[in-house]
Amino acid sequence: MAVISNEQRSRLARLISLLQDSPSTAAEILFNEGIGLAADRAHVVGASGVAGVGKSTLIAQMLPVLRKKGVRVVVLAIDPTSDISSGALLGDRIRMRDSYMDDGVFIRSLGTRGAPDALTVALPAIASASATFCDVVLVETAGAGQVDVAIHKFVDTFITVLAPLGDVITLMKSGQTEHAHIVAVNVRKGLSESEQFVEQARILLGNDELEDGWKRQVFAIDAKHGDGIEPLIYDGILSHRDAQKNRN
Amino acid sequence: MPEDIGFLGLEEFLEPLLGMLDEDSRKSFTKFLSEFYKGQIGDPGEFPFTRGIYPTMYRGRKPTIRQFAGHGLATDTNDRFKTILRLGGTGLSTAFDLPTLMGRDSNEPISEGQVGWDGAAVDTLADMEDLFDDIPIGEITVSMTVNGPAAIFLAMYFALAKKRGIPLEDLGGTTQNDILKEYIAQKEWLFPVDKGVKLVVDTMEFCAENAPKWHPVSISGYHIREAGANAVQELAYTIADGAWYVSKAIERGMEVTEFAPRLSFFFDVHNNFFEEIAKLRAARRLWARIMREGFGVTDVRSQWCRIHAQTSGVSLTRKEPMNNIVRVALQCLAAMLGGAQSIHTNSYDEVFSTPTEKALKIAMRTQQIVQEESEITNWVDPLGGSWLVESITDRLERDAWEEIESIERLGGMEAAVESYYPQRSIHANAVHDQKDVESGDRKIVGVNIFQDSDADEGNLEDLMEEIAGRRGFEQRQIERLESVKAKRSDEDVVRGLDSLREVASSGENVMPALIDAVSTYATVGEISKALQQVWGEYQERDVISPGLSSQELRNVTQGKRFSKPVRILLAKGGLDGHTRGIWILADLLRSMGAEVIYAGLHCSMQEVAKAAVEEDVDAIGLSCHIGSPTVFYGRLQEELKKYERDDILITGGGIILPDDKIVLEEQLGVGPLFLPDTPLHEIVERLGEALAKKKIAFLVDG
Repeated sequence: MAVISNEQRSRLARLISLLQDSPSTAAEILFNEGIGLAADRAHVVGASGVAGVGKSTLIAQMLPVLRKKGVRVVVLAIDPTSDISSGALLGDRIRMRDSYMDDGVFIRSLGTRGAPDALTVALPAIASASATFCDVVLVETAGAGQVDVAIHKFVDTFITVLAPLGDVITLMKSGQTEHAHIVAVNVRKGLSESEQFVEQARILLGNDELEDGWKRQVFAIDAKHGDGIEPLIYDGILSHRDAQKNRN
Repeated sequence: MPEDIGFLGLEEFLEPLLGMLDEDSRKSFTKFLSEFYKGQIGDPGEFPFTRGIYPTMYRGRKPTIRQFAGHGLATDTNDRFKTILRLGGTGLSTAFDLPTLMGRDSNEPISEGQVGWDGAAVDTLADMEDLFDDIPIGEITVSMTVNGPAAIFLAMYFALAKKRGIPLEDLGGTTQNDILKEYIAQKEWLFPVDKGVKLVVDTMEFCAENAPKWHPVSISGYHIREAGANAVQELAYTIADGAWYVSKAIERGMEVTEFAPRLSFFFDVHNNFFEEIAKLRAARRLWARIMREGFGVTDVRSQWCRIHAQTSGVSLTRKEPMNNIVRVALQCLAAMLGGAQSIHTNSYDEVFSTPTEKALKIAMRTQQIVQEESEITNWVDPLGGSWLVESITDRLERDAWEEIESIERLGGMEAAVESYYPQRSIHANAVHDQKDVESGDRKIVGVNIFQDSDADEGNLEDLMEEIAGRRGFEQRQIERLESVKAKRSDEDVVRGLDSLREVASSGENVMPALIDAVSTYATVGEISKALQQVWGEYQERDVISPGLSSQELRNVTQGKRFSKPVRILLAKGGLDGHTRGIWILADLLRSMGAEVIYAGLHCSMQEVAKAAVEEDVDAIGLSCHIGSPTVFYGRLQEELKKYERDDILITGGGIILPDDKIVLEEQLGVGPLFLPDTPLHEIVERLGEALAKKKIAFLVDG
């Protein structure tokens, strides 16, 4: 099965640090490292959503499913840097611990370090660098505000993770779902309100055609129990990847 | 109970007052006092059992001397058991090693450095046979301190009895088996919370039907207190845990009187002498009231809060360790004045490791001296009626009740645990206590007052010898496990595990299937994994911040911060769950501008190294409290070399003996290493120096 070697692992790790520590020379660093826009670079997926909605748990559940397909994954998990101390407690990786020893998985925690939009400094460069070491890059934003959707500009597939709360129309107005290729509603089993929310989201958000010709997909998932993950990956992420490839 | 109020000599005392009253007022006044006494205090052996569960207490039966023991292989612990019985111990209590407590086999990578370290290693029924070889388990009561996989060990014990032809109904003893306090405090868990509780109820149900003399659960406040709770929190969470088990057993369809008389409690006895006495009295009253008024149980034996007490481990000091003997004696006295049914006295050297035989003997003698020489056993609840003790008892009960109500408002203990409410409260109190020690508000002789610069760490030679003897345990136990596995029928094992999985997914009681599975000599690890395949696993998925204010953090850091965002991975060695230290550090380092990465509990050194590489950290802070530090740090270095990242600074600390510290610092080049009493500001300073020396970052005024 495809793996990321020890040497690659050390190299990518240091490269990411280099990019984060001197974001202004990121392009130069990538050039020197020979990282350009290779045609076979990995598919970059971004997941955004408010704090506590279940992004890390969702990614944790996606990892074994992707790995079963032999896909090597780099996870970039962004957490907020305190604007008072400039320090950060980066704890997203705890949720992904079942994949700690997987040779095909690389998990990197990043502080926002003053970058806007719940992203981190040099994110485009870090994502490009990561994309040359694996098949899929999963970027998790810090707990985003309602309109922190800037990440969609840097990724191939943009996933918005939602809790089934409130009504879908208000949600549409908030702009959170506007650029989303995939909407993942993190439901709790057996709650009828959840089911109703998903139905509404399917009707109101599903099937909108985005710029790249992709029709937005809505998936109901249960991140805690790992339900609904396979359709999200196969019919969502991987099929979006294939659609983009065919288009190019 | 007398109808008059003669019980405290009050009638005579109040005579002048009573004389002023007319007949009716006099009657209603004496009635009021009498009812107040009955409701609030009661005679010994009477509801609400404030003064003890038996009318005669220690005049009828002295507390059982039940010393917790275990180390090495089952055969080593068997020898220790025989010593205890020879010294006059009246019950046995088994300590298992950490891998065993976590349901892991001795040969798993995560078990490395911990096999036989702080308890007996038990992998299969064969080890259980060794553990109780030549010990009459039909006659003596045996306690097994194990929680997450308790049902598996209970199944082993029952299988052992069956093999020896002893009927299960003759077996007396206790499994600690209190899973809720594991999620709350001790962190030795296996399954998700609801499944953990279900397994406890399975054992309650099975014992009620088959082993009526067995105490399936010992509802424990000890670990809650040792994790940093105060007396009120200890009381509240313990009683709330007990009430949760009762309600779940009732949901299962059991009659309360079938199982409640076999519930027992386990409390800590800490330093605050009168508060600890009052705590045990308040516990009895709270439990009796909850059982009678909450669950409507009239059976007296179902209302009893039977107490096992252990002196406080965290109150002991590494400095001048012989002083611990005095601390233990006072705590033992408090336990007896509080009316405990059985007592474990700690050995003075427990701060370093499981006790040496010499220290164990002193601990037992301490109990024997209090029991036999002080003559306090001649009086029943000698402090009853003391204004001080009664009023502390009232206060503790009232405050604990408030906390129990908070738990109920959160939706009961399972929901509370999942929202980390008790975990956070305990953590906050622990941090508060630590500050009191650092500021000197809480006095510890030889540590923050009456310090003696010449004081040595005590004579640790015996201990060093004992520790040296442990180095071989792991290899011996792994060989033992392999030989057991070679002899068993793999076909039987597979069949046993298959049917266990089937029963587990059906939701039925798993005890009979567990007994069948252990009888095939399936290992604890195999059985735990089979159940986890069906039920899932539990992991604490968040860092619980101690919530220090920025001012408190600044007091420690003196306003210093790192010159750049230093990246630091904080990790634990092995299966140990002592996280308080690293969580405080996480907050502290973050406030200094570091990016702190936490990998979670129960990571192998392979996992820690891989995480450190991916995160490209500047330093790893590895904390170890249980197991061999040289094994942990050594393995971590080796793993980092595989990625050519042995340049990463390895620091950390925990319980590290002087000899090991020398090896680590001088031979492996690990450090700085911090021992448990190191003040936080010193950690910050020395860590800053180490990072500066490696030219990673400097401490600057910020």
